[in-house]
Amino acid sequence: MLPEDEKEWYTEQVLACQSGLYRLAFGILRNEEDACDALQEALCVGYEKLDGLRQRSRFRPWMMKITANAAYDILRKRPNLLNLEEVEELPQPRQGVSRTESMSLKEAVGSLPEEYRIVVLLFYYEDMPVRQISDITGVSDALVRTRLSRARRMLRKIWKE
Amino acid sequence: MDAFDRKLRRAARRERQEIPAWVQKRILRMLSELPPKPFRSTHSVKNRFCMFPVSAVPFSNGPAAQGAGTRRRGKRILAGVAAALALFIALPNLSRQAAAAMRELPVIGGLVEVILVRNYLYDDSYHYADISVPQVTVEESGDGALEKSVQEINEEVESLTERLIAQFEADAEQIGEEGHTELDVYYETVTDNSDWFTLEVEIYYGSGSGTVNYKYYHIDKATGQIMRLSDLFQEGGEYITAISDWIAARMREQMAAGTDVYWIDNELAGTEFHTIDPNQNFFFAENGNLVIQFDEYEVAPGSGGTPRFEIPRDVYEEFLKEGY
Repeated sequence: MLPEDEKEWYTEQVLACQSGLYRLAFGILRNEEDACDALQEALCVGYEKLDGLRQRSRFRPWMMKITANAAYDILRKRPNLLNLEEVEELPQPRQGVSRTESMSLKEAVGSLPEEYRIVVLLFYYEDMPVRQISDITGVSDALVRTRLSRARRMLRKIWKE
Repeated sequence: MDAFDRKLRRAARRERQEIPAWVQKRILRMLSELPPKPFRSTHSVKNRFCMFPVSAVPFSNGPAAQGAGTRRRGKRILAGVAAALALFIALPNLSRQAAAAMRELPVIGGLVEVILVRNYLYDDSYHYADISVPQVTVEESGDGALEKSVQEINEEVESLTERLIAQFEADAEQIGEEGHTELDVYYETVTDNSDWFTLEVEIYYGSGSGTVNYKYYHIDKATGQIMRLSDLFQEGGEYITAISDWIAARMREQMAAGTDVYWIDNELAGTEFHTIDPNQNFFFAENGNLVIQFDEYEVAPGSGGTPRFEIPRDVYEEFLKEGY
């Protein structure tokens, strides 16, 4: 079942989806250095656990999950920067962001609270289905849909192409 | 998927950022240093290459690790069933009434109208397609040239979408469950005023990270003719140099300011931008300025999206044909 040369197969797979992995890590951490650290960490873990990946065709979502975990690990170690508690009331985008004609979607998404940012990133930037987003973020399909819908409402207010 | 949703998807696609070069370098170095598999010592990789200790917790706010295995196994079976029952909706040959009911775009004082005649959706978890096929219609105008142009555009759009769907289906079959493909085709009326009509068709095709390409169809309503960029200008091609030089100067400015990267003044011959194509993609901005549109990867790396440049009229005015 396993390819003869694991390292070569793994390298090919990683290179094919590296930008998406980086965007995910950057989306969580909002910092290039940290995103790079998370990515390196995730690639070590991925290689180590490769035997556990039964369906090789599911490499991308599997690796996305490992990358998200590595990024959240780094986030948790940051002192007093973000509270990872669930925020279930409709949150307000960060202050200072007003509706402008020229704001890029990236800026608008960057102003969303982290748990909304991540579902928007996976859904719109990475074209992932809700089911996979649920697997990656570890929350239910229903909560992913709720967060997507709230994120859309926030984006409608702050972003105009 | 509503209009705002589509807008978000398109904007996300345009802005999709590639991995920075310095991060990629590190990743490549790290990958090259991985020990060959199979290996037994799980700690050897981590200790040698990783900067942070790995947490055993599967996810910060995720399900308990014990329950996750069962849940995932169930999902895998469901995914198989879903693939077998792949959603496949094609609505060819909609009646005119149905097409009119699905009308998406209002017409502002023009004779030309764009309607959605076909929507092709496909989603089997591995391969995804969302294709809107537009059709341009024209009121009984007695303008033979206009009607002929409209018919020609419709035939081109139809044949383009058929080719894309055939390619997508062939790729999806060949790739199977070994990868992902995605095809999205959207259209938009960019201009529809008393003088001019422009239909934009945006095509995204790829797996993992794909490419965005544009097709523009223009009609000069005064003559009823289909127009290309070269049709706006006098013979001799001076407009190509004038516009290209102006764009190259903006590219250099943005490179120097560190805001964007373009393939210009590149040591690697063959990829750098020299001139626009005589019939480069274009459209008119709301203020009437000419906008030159590039496809993804045409003049810049993927991180640059699909660059467009709004050209001040004085750059090309002297080369225009009379009447433009």
